[in-house]
Amino acid sequence: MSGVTQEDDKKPADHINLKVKSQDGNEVFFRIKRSTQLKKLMNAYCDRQSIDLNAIAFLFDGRRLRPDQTPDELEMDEGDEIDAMLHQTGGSLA
Amino acid sequence: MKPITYTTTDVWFIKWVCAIEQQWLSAKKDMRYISPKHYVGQYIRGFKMLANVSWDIVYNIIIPVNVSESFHWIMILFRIRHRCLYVYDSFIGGALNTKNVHRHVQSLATIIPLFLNIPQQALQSKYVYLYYLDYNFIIIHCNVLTFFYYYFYNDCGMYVCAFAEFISHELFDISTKIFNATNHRMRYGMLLWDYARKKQNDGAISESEVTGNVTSRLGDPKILRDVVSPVVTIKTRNR
Repeated sequence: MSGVTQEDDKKPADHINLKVKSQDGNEVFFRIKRSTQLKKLMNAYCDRQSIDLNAIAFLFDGRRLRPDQTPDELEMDEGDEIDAMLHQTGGSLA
Repeated sequence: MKPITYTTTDVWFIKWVCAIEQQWLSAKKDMRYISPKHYVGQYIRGFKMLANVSWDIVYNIIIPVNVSESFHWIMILFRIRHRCLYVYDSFIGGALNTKNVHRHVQSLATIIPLFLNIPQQALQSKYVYLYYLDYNFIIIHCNVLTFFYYYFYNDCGMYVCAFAEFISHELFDISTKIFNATNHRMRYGMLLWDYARKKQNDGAISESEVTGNVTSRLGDPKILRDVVSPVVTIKTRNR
């Protein structure tokens, strides 16, 4: 999986370590290039968790992330945390 | 200028509340889990959301709640001075739904007081009455829209929006307001269309389209956003 690896020991300056935290508190760590679009991280996370990408909302500082955004664009810092939240729907009777 | 009387949370707030409640109970009510740095504490201090304000400068907190087990939306209003959680549910009936709703309300009633009782210095509160109180919430269910709901299925989300709108105008006794779900749905559709049109005309962008950070998760100032059209309200915090 180019661009995204998990917990790699080598940390070049143009890479950043990010943490994806799910609703139940589980954390998955990713190392990603600052200029790489976050869709790679999102796909990698969903593959690992066996979840449909469309079922998850990725949030950073309370804001929804778009797949085309990059860590550079979002001014992410080393060790920043991304929340992976299940979409919530409703509209029917119990 | 009229002071702000209410704030809101996003739809994820209740999930963090339920999660911390589980952790807290699993750890035999270990208070080390109840930290102002936890997400729930950050919402209360006004840091977790872009357009949020600290709970100590408002009277009412609007909390949208997704009862996922029932595929249903409700709205819970925390009226701080009343020490009440008002539950606005467009559907009543069905033991399962009632049980699921009650579980969410109980989670809020358990967790919010724990965070509000964090020592005042940590929360930098200006309003002492919000904290140091022995909270024992009164829970009031406002389910009187039932008979409308039977005619307009799948409208619980729309009703939650309408409830929030009423409360933003300080109309709390919504039960007496007869409104039609179809008309409200059309009205919200029109408002969204108008918003999009204004955005196009003014070249404005929405919150989700803005890059850069306003605040860190712990409330410290980060790099300010790029210049954004004044149509979009950007809140910065310096503490």
